Amino acid sequence: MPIELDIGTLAQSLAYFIAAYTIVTLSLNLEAGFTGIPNFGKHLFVAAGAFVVASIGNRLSAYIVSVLYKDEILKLIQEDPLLSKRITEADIGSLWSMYADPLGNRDLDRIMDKFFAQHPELGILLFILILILAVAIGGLLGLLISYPALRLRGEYLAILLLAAAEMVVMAIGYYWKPLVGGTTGLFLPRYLAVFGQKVILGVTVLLILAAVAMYLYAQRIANSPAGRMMRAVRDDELAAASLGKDIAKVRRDVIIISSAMAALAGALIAIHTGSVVSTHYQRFSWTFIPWAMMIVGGVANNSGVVVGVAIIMILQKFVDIVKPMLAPVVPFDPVWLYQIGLGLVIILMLYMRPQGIIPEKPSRTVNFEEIFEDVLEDKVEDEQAKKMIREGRATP
Amino acid sequence: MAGQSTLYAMAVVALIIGIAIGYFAGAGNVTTTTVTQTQVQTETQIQTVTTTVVAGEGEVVTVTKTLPVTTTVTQTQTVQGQAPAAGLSGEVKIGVLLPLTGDLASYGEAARAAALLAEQDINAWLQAAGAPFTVKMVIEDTQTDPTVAQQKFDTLAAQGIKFMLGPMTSAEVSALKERADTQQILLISPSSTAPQLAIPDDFVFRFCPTDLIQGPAIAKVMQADGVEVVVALVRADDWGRGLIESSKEAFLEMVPNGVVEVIEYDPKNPNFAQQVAQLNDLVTKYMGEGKKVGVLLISFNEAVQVFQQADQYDTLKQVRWYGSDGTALLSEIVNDPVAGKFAAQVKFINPIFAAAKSNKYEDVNKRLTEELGRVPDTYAFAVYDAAWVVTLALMAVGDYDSVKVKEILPTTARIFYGTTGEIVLNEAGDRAFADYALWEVVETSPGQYEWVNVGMYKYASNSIEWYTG
Amino acid sequence: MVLNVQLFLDTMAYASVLGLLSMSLTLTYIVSRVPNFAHATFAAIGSYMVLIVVWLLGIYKTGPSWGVYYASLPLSFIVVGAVALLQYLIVLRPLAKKGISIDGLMIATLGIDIILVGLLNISADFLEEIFQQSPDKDLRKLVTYPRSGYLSSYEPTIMGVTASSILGPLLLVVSTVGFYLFLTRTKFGTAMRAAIENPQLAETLGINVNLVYSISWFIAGGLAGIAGVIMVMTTKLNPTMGWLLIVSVFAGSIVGGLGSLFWGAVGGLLIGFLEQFGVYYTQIILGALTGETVSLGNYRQVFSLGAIVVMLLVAPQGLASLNWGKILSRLGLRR
Repeated sequence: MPIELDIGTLAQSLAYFIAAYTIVTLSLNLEAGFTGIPNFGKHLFVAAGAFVVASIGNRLSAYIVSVLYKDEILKLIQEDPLLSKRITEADIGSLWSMYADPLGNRDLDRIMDKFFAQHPELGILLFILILILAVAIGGLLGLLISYPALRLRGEYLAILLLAAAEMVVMAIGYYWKPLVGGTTGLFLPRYLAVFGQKVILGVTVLLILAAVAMYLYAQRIANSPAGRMMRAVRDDELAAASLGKDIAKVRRDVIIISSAMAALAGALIAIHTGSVVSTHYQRFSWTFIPWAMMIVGGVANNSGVVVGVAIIMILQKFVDIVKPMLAPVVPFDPVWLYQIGLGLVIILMLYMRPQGIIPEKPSRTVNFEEIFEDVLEDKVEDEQAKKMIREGRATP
Repeated sequence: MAGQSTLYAMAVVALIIGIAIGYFAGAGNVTTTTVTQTQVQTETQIQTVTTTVVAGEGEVVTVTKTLPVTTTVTQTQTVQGQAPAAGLSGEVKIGVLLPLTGDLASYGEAARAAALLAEQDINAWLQAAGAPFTVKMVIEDTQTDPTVAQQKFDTLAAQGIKFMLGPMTSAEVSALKERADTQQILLISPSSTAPQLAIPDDFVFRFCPTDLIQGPAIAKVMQADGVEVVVALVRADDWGRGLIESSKEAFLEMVPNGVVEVIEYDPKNPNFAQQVAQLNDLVTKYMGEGKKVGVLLISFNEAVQVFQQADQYDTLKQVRWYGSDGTALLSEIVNDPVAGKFAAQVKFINPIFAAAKSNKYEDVNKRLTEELGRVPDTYAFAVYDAAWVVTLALMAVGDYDSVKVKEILPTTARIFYGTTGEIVLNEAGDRAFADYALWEVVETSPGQYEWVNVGMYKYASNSIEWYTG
Repeated sequence: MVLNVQLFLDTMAYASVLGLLSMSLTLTYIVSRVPNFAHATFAAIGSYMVLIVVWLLGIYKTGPSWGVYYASLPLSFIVVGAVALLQYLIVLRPLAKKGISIDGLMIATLGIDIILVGLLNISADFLEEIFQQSPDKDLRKLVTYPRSGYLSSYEPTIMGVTASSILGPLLLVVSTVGFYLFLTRTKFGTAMRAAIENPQLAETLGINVNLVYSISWFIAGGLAGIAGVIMVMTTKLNPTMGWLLIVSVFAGSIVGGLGSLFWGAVGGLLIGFLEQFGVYYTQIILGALTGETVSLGNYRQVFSLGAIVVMLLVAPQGLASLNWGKILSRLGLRR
């Protein structure tokens, strides 16, 4: 069966997902890869950006517009035969509060879309304002999370973050209507009316620009003294502390920065989608997949992350496209191929190349671990004992 | 020091930017035509007229009638579209987005079987007509995850597909709406019911009635039984919440001093002990007040678990239970000895949009049942009908053009008599009305339980016609 | 409505499933130091063993029978134990030997989880195919929806109470006490404790640490399998049924502190009761305060997730780490 592909559409989709996942995975890598903070609740921080856009952004823009351009809004409502029946002049002052109700959200969305089509410049301004707000609140959330993160270590922290994320995104976000409309979610006004019908392409380009900027930023951090300090904290906290490094500050800064990055991605994903519903930010898609991308690409290596993201996304598209051809060959429903394949890829990757496709760059200072390994290899014969010494359960 | 790895990354970034620029450049070459269209928007409003008639000596009968009032607004709109492609030939693709894995996999599987059956039937028909093309269903799994749904939508769009059946949940529909509208790809969801997706003039059609129609049907059945207090156990998702909202509104309108109490449960709930206990408390409380109580269960196949747990409470067996299209005709209810017995005992009655028992319905039902090994749900029939309506509209247009098909889809649906009966779409592209068949669980022989069609709710007259015997 | 007896019985079955799972999860954690995300899916495999028993022993024709338990408890123990052992031997041990970090191992268990769920789905499809094509009408009814079914109709009752409500707590108590006796009274148990507490010393004493770890994984898997047998009597059979419970199981283990089997079992039980009775009484109290019906059933997970968050923030080492003597004497319950 020949498959015709519209390369433009395919490329646009790939570019969008690669850019979005690049930002999220880079931020995960800053925490987990460079600093050793196992963030298993990444989807909370991505969702945070989207939730800010939907819950605060929607209300804020409706409020600003209805106060500044009251007459125009009123005219838009009266011109529309569907809206004029439902919304009267008296409602104008409280337009922003209509977002709590799904039908109100739909009607308001209609007004706002028309308004921004007439005032694209205001749309851009509000878009920038909301984006900044999302990033700021993302950072604040990071600050909040950093307190327990400083006290808890390793797997306890991982489970805490996972539990907090599931609680906020899947339980509260999904059921509590005032946040993001509950089970059905909320539509977003089309702020970027400037792109016209090409709004998805436009936001994709913005996401690509953001991904490039985030990559350069992450590279700068990694190659700076701060980056070396992060790795020092990860590799040997005691040693780092004894050298006078403020570990708490390093860890806190990293969590704040990477939370803000994830929120930026979440906000842009929301604008790109045009609506926000909490099920969009599931742990499988926004925590597990970024971890898989990081492990495949290269832990503690920004370039590796980009490669990992690209490989997983392209592989996924490839599997989608060839799957129909495999259906007659495999004895079971081919939908399971992707899931089983993904699991196998991760485990095999960990086994064969745990450092990822592009391994971490060796730091230019003397590597304590290498010396340790050399000594261990030299002095201790028994494998079991070596393992125990490495794990810190025994002393040589 | 720019290492080797940085070079790799730069190459990838350059690739992405290159692709994006390439797309821009490519997009510039596509000739866009501007089509000016006159578009008719119809707003249908339901008006309830109540007349009081004095019949006989002092006997007062109230007749409530519901009349659809239609307003028509004509708008002139400019639509940007791509240059028309060459006519239909070869393999014409229709995308299908369904949850084949994940929470709703059971519905996805039935819908897939329906899509494939439609493909087979349509192609046989096209071949007999000597048409120059065949249709091909391209099926993708959305896992009920909006992110995955977007990925799969893109994959289908990249194959040049302009018509897609699905996705099934409202959350997925809203995640795809922006894409569908801007890329002019037609989505027909067989099962999304959320009222806020009722948006005129978009590229989303919905072939199931929204909750605003089923709600009154449920309320009417309860009112007919003289129920004063409704205690509802509701699946807390967009479907369940929307349905209870509209049922509640309709019921309180019909029974002004009635009471509706709502208990919600998480769709991922593994165990219903707590909810059933609360249900029992409320039913006991209102029965103690001497009210006639009815239990409304808005759930999917979790109903079996609910019945098994409710079977332990005697009070819950003394009231009638009412259901929705989520539980109508579920074979697991009648197959499970405990749940079946309980359902028969409480005369569990369910409306489901009919599927007007036509020969066509029976035929498709029979073949789908053979394929699946169970009775398919109505959403599967909606998928089957949607495939036909799209094909018919495509033939009328003579072109693989989603903008033109979108314009004539409502009229095409109107002239088509489907397995789900008449398909009338309202101004928002959603099913405008439907009659509801009422199915009840009955013990046909000792230990054997079956679904029996006991009546029909007529939307136009807001009345119930009971089948006797 | 001071105590709803039926709710108590239903909760006993559910909570003891969580107790068994939290306890066995704690065991794997003590041995390998990695939270195993695939643990609840182990229970799902156990549940499928019940389906196979109901099918092969013809119980679907004869109706409720103790045979369900007699056959599926040992079968689940062995099969799921073997799956857990394989996970340890094929994936976790080699990876740990290569020095993969705990984050990496956790991701590996997530990978195993999606592989297991995929394989379970394929097997479920395969079983369904067999049932559907059978000439036996009763067998065709066994799985009526894709990959799911309800098996609780096949369990017997004891004086009108479903067996799982009694058997579940019984199994939990027996396995907790049994484990305690095994660890303290048998030679192998002593060796096991030694190997877990100080592997190096145990090794020098001639204890085969590897063997001890492997057996621990086998037992942990087996207990998860037994939990699956009870679990399927309280919920819907489905390949992803483990995912519905994994959050609660982790909550149980965290509340128990991830360090002691006894406290793991207690933690699981507590979470089970919190999700049912905690929600139930919160509703009653809020209802009495507001004068309206309050329904919090859909926020069930908030209770267990909240328990994780609160526990980790207040006492990361769990209930086991609290000084109970001090608390009791403060409360005036003990001098």
